Amino acid sequence: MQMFRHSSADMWRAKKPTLERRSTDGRRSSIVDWINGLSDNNNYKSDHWVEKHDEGCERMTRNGSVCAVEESEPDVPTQHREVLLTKLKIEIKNIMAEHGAKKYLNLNSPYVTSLCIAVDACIMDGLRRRLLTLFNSPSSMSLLQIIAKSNGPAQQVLDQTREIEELRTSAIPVHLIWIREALYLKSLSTIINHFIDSKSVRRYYDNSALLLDPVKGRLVATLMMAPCMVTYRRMSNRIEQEATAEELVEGATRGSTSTVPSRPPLSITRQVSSIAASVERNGSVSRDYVFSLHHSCKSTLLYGKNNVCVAMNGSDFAKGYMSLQKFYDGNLSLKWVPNQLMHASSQPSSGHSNNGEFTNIWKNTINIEMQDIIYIHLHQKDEISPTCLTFVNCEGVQSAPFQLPAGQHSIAFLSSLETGLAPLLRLDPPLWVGTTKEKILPRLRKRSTAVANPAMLDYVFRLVRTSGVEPAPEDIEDPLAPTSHSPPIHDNCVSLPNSPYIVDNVDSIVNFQIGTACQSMRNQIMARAFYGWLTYVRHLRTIRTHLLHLVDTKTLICDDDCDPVDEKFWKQARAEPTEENEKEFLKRVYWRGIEGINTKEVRRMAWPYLLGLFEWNESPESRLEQFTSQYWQDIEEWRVLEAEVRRRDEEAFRAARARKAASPVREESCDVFEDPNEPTCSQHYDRENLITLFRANLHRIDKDVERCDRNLMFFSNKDNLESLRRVMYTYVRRNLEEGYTQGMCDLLAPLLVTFEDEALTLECFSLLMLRQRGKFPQRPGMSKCLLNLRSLIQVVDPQIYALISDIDYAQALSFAFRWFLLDFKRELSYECTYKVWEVIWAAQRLRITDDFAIFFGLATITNYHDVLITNNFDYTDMIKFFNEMAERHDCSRLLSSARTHVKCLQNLVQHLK
Amino acid sequence: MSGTRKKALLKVIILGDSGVGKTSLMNQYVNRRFSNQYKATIGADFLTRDVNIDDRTVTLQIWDTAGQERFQSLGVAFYRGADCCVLAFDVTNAASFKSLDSWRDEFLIQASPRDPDHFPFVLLGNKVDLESQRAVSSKRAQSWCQTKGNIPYYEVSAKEALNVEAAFLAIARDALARESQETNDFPEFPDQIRLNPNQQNQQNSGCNC
Repeated sequence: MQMFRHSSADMWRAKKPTLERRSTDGRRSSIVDWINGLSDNNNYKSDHWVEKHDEGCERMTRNGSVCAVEESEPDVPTQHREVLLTKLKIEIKNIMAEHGAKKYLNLNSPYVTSLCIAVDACIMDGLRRRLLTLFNSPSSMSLLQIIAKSNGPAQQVLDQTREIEELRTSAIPVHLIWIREALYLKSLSTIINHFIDSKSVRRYYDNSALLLDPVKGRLVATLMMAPCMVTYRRMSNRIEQEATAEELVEGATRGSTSTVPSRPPLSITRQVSSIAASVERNGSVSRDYVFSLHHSCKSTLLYGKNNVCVAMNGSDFAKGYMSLQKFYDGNLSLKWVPNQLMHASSQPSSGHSNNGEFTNIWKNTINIEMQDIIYIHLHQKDEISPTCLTFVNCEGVQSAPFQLPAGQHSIAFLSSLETGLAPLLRLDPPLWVGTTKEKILPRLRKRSTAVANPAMLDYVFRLVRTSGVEPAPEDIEDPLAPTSHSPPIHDNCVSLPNSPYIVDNVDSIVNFQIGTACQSMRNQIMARAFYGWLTYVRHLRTIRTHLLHLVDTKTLICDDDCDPVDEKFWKQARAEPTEENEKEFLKRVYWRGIEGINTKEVRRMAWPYLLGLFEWNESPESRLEQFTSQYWQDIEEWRVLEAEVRRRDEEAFRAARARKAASPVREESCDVFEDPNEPTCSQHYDRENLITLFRANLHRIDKDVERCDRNLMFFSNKDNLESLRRVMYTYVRRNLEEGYTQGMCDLLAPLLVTFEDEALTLECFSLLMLRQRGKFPQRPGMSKCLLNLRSLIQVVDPQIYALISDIDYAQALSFAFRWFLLDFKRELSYECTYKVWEVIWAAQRLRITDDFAIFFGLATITNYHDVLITNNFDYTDMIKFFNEMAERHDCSRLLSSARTHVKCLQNLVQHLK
Repeated sequence: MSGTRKKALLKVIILGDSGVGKTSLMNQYVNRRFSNQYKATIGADFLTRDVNIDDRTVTLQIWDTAGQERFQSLGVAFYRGADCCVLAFDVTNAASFKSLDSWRDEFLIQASPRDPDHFPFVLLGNKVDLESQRAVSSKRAQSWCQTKGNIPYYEVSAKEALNVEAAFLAIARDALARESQETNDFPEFPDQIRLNPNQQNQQNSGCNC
């Protein structure tokens, strides 16, 4: 920044002539815009290498433009070719941006079509159409036919194109289909390269054709590599749908392959890091690396210039980008990267193609630390020839000469360097300030030898410490330098090396600045440590106030290498119904579940024990009989009520039909809310009440039984639906005050499927309802559940917590309502529901936690951390996402993750106690 | 996610007794299909569909809630900010027609719209394909609508896709008309400053800092 205060104006003035010439040329609009944009923008040093998304594509395609800066006048075809290339780049940029947002692209979308048009225009440029009329149509397709014989991918594209043409369903012009298909098959870049190489194709082109241009032709092919990496999908022309939950999950897993997929559970160390959440970004590694050569947060860009020539391997010259950067430690470094590498890095795919070549280019990058340099040689034949800069380090080794274009570039570079060197180092001799306040090279007295070639301009600058301490011995002399190795200091020069005034002043400035920097660092470290501690304490308080009673630490079981419960184990355990066997049984269910063959049978026997219907040391037979007789007795009792209800329904329906058929005059006069079946009789008030209540419940049950899991084989059988209805009626008859609430059928169905015994099902269902009843509407259980879940999220995953914390918890977590009401029955398949329910029941019996479902919910949320965070979901997005994810969760992964969460909370709580 | 056009979002809530076909109506309109596999709605769900109305693209966000009145406390969270309320009943079930009043009142109390008397409601009588079991005549429904300030009434069938499209289009129009009216009453700032976190991320992605 400091540099800009001093010299930016001068720099721009110095650059202006070149700039204006370029803009009057009317071409290279991209680079002119780019540079002008920079001059408008004081932040140019930091934006220099950052793509400017908001300003259109010109910036984006900087690399392509940079390479082509030439000083000659362009002709009309050249301009046309530029326009074509620019259009192509715009289309590619659009398509990549769209791809970034969507993860895949519709092959029929306008983006793809526009790209195809741009590609076609590039290929058609300079094509001698007369020759092509040999073929049926003078289109780019003919070229494809030419190379198809000798090229596999081309043949493939051709075949597919013909297929599509026959179908005649395509949304785009016929001659563009092959380009689209080549994109779809990811071989467009290869094919264009093949066009350029193939002699049989080249002869159809004029010499000035875009594709035959040694640089730009290849550029077209290289540019196409990026769109070839995109995933395309054939979709109908219908409205593009929003990404479904599955696609989101898929996208998140694809994007996070390098990050750890499962997040660490509750732990003390994590919470500190939550304030300094590190944002990991995956990008093209090589691209980032090239950027890092020039631009990083630790350095300030002082000077940058494209197309700086450097001699490679003797006579070869390579163009590249040179930059001068100042690091916060005060060191300057000069970097140079060849253009090839810059282009390669902007094409994500090119790294794959020819690795060997690129490793060689990597070696050619130059990095010079200015602190090692003592001499800078500057040679210029005359005013209009390029300037050569050579750097000599303290060991006398010379760098390869950098050739800057003629004009004021070298002076601009030197003035940036001088500013960058201050205050510790300076150039000797210093640059002069010209009459118009711009920097100029010092006018030096020349030695007599130099007079022989008066036009030759040669300078040697020394880098000396301002404090006067010479960095290198005096006797180093460069034999190449035609001027004196210690040029005489002009009278006007004020920055004498040994001036005590300068030393004092600079030292105090430096000391002061370092002191401030240290102080601010100290403050930052303190603040960070404090916030870390604060977050940690907050989390502990959350645990202490909200989560302390969620788990029981008395029964810390950390034995997860046991076997699952199978038929054999079940028989063994039941043969000796000891307390140890019960413990072992519960432990196995909690950690591994019920597995093996004949699980249904084992479940049928084990669930009543898990639900606590039977004591462990009790055998079920005698009580089963009692349940059955009671059940049928109850049915007898409600059958009478049911008959009465049905009679009234019939009556009401007939009345409604009669009213419908009645005359319109009568209808308008009558009260539309009149109910002919309102209980008006007061004599049998209790019975009336009973029947009304029962009737309302029956109607609700009927509606829900009808639509309960109709997709399941078991319930496609009408008899089983009748069983479900009977059990539900009986339950409601027994608990008429509570009545039927939607969701009860969902809880009952898996039990009935497992037991296939109505009486036993009813008994187990009653016990299950004891557990779940609290979470049903108008009871406090659900809010407690959601609050606990919220607290757990706060402690475990602060990032997700940030998404849900700013609105009311009931609304933010409304997606979890169904989870807890039905203990995930709707979220999982039947098989998975069994597994999760067993663990929930075992956890309660083992007194590990009363509500394992909350931890399972936590696991479900944290499992999709990446999806939620990358898409920045709000609560409606979450509702939609989790509703769409129903029955698609990886149940065993969620279960083990939930068990880990429980374990961690147990450990934490134990520490707290 | 990546739309550049500014789209209007209209929030529509479907209310009515359980089993009147709220989920089916929503799915028929958005996905243009009927399934007899729907389960009772627990919690809440919504679907969105874009419609073009007078050269404007409007996104309808249709919320489907549980039908049992006990679950109303949960639905209340979603009532707020609704642009239109669709009341649905089953023409073969007179009870579902009778509870319309309480659904309407409950909605007005909970959503507390600015102008309750002119809040757009639409009444849908579903299952007209079951004409033989009809228990609520179209006349009766229409006269109820008249007493509530001329609510538009549509007889629809989610199963046969009868009238569903037309009904929802009318709903969108109604809500949109009301919305533009409101913005005239309370003009918003002409240039909204949009702080979109996604855009910020995009801009930063090129920087190594």
